[in-house]
Amino acid sequence: MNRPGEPQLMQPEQPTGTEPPIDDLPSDDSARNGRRLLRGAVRSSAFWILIALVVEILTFSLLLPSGTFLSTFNAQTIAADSAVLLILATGATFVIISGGLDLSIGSVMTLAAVVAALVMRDVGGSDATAILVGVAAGVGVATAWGCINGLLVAIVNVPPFIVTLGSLGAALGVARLLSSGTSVDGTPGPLASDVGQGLVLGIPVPFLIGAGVMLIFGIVLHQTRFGEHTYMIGSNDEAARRGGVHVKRHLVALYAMSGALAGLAGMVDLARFDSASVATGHTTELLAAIAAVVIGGASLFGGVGVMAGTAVGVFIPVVLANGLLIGGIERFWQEVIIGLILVTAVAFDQWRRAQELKGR
Amino acid sequence: MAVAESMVASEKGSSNGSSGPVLAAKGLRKVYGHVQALRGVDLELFPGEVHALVGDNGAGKSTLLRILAGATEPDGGELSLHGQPVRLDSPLRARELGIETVYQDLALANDRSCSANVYIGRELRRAGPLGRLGFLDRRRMNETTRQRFAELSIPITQVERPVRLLSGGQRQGVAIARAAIWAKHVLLLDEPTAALGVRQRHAVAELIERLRELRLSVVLISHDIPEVLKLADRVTVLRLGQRVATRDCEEVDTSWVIHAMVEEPLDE
Repeated sequence: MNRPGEPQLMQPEQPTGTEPPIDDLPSDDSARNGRRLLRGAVRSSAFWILIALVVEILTFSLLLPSGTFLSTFNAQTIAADSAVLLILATGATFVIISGGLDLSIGSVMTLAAVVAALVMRDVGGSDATAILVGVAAGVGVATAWGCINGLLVAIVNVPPFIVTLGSLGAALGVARLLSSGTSVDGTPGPLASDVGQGLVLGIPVPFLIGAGVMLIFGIVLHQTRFGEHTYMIGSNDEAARRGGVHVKRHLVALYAMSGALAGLAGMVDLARFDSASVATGHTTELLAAIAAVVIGGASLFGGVGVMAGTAVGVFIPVVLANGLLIGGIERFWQEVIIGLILVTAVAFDQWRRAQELKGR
Repeated sequence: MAVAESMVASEKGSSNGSSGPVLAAKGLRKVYGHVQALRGVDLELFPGEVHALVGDNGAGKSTLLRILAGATEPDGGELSLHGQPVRLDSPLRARELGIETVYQDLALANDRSCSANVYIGRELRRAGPLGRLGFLDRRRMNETTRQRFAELSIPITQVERPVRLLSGGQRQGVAIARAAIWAKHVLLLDEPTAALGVRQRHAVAELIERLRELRLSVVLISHDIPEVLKLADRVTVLRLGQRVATRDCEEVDTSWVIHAMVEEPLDE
């Protein structure tokens, strides 16, 4: 590809706006413009999801005993609880916008936590060294795992759903083999005390990590060429390919990134609970992360989505789990409700796309 | 840009222009299994000429276009650009040499803006360290796109709106404009009016007229013979992988062309 620069077009003679528009969009006076803005807002799922979140918070505030749901302590709890999901959903946003899907993130998160915990326990030296080496090992394994997912999707052309469904099972199996099927404890003290339970200006450190990751990757998604190519591939991969985008390379990078972020989520989880559990494979987190992305406005067809929508979307399941817990309702209801939310969100996306086609 | 000067020096690009062809093909052959898609086809494309390729299904139009676009490699024959032999072994190579193609599927990312589609794979980055990190200069891409669209009389000013919200004719306009903006020499159009209504066909015809004024050379595949004869300067008729004839469009009429498409050779 040649120079980055202005497209070359000789002879810039200028008939600006003198031609009558043959087929142009309706020009707008301000009233119509306002109405269109409103219509756009009502159609965007970010608007609805924000309302849903507010309703959710209001409901819990009214129903639950005062001083329980609405309290600084509970706000900190919700923030800390959101950390893992913020990180997982960041990766899922990229993958889903590219038209793909990564179902393995919960398992990869588990695998990374087990590897990190084992390395931290067995490596000598100071706590800091053990933590750094363990984190590097955990995130490294997760990145490599994601890379394999990406190669299978991009080079071998196995559908992402199947690749990551298979690797969901495989990663959890490997994690259980490594841990002999039980949780791995004995991580260095500072990991939990400084990171997992740490507060900076009253804000939980896990939340700062999660929010920081989402912010940085949100900027990457919306401001950089990497992000633009992610949208292009999701919207029309053939167009991206003909335009000179290295589609295969980009897909491998996306799945590797998704794996790396799952690894990081595993580190945050390990820090918070001081133990790597292999019991569940974090399927609830997987579902919640994908639900967060879809209710945040991303389309499973690819090409559409915004990181800010995902950010709001993350708090729907987190606040829900929190409210149910305080209300003393069986926590398994959370899984039922998240499942319902996910299906509803996808149905809404279908409906919205159909409306948009009709309304054109 | 040296090329542009030589183009300016040339005459209006009908058959006997004073300068040589921009793009010339000689003896192109292509075999698919037992099917001989092209059996030694010559084609000369002059600066600023609109050159139509017509022929019945299976005549080899698409294969020829794909070879010129770098999407298919010929099994034999030669290609030259401004008299220099070239090998078009990939679409990217063809684009580097200033040859752009608009296929029937348009290859637009419908969820992205017009300007993002224009700059697909060639995005402008911001100046300075942020640009090196891959940060896009969307404002400049939008402005330049708006300006280029105006030059081509494409009636779309809201270039930041997603292509999805445009009509079929407007999408065709965006796809052709994108190719025209980047093409330095040659524009290949595969059935640009096939899916369009009357009014939109008219808009595409005007756009092709603009391309001629900009002295781009256009190769046009179409099934609509009367339309082709109006739009193009010259027409090449292919049949069963061979060139039957190349004529000035003013010299021939629809029935002659159809006759040439299906009957025995008339000349050459």
